[in-house]
Amino acid sequence: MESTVESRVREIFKTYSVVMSEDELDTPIDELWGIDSITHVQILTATAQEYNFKISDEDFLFSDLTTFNNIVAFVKKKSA
Amino acid sequence: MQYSIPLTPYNDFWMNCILNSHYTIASQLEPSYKYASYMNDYSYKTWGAAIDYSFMTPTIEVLDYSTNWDKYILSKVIVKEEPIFFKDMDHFVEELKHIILEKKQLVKIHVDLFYWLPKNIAWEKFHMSHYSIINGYDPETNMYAVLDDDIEGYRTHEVPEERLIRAFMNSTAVTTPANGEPHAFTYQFNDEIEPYQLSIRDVRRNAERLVEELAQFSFDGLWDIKAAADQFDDYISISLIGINIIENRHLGNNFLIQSLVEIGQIDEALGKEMSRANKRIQQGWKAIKQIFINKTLSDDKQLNLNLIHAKGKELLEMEKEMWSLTLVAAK
Repeated sequence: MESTVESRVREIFKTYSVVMSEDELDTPIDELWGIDSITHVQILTATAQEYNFKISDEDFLFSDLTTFNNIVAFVKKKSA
Repeated sequence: MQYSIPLTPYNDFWMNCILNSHYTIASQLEPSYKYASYMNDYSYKTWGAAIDYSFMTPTIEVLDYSTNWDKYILSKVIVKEEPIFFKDMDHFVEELKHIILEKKQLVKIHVDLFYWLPKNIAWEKFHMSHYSIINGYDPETNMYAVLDDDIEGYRTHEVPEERLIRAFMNSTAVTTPANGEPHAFTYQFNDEIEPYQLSIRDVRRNAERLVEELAQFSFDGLWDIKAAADQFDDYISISLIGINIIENRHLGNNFLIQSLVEIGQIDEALGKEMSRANKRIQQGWKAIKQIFINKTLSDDKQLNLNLIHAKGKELLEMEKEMWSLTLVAAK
């Protein structure tokens, strides 16, 4: 389950032309090349659509969706 | 491209189109004025949307630049802006080219953003006029060198003459002459510009003011979108302008803190503490921004206003504490 979520989320990032190395998985997303605020939210909404959930206003404020690993953890929590 | 004055866009952080243009000019003429841009001479304000003045959104305004020029930091660089009303509207571009190529002056012209820059938030969405700097013209391509902002920041653009004419002729300076807005402005600069010196004394003076103001600012009634569903995204776009300005100001505050440490005006320990607080504030405003962006990308057109207002209030409290640190250190 874990590697599937990680690889699917990586694929979503790739569709937005963002490819991360292993040591960038905990890097704040807006420090990664090619990511602006709109792209960041597009990635999040695409991920939410992939896993059939919605990201609420609370999620944006309290779930720290700022790194790849944090997003993966969030997906697992929402999918559980 | 033939330039009146070559300019490098000021883009350390975005304030608004007017201020970024002012600091572009000032830091070109005297580089130390880059540090003036970091000064915390700002206040939180509310503004009504151009499409609906009853819709209020929060933003940040820098003091004095629009109300009290002589007190404004950059009045030591830009003495004044000279208004221009073109004599022949059918051939205004000839007057414009004369200013740029013969008189070698910087000019800013009124344009309707609906028609202006494809990546501007207003492009083909809503009408809003502002002044845009033109500092060059290429006779071979009939293109104008422009400095203005879009979603990628304040930067240079090349605009074809046809688009310039359309954007200008639809600006409120032209369509509503009773408002008295000049068609354009040129700049008069100080002959001798003294270098700017960033001072902790000025930062503390502003910090004292901000601590009081932040305690009083209220989010009640702000971002309250009552529009029909088909206009919802326009209101979100307008809200994002103010949120962007606020988010960027905290980026500017980060530069201020770093600069104060670099020039020895505050010690490293205080710098680190302020930076930690500033980072949390930046993250908070980024999260609010993401909520608004998400509304334009998803079919969720409901804002949890109570939650967002509460977060905004929390962030202002954090900012108040951050500025208080500079005042405690002074004692």
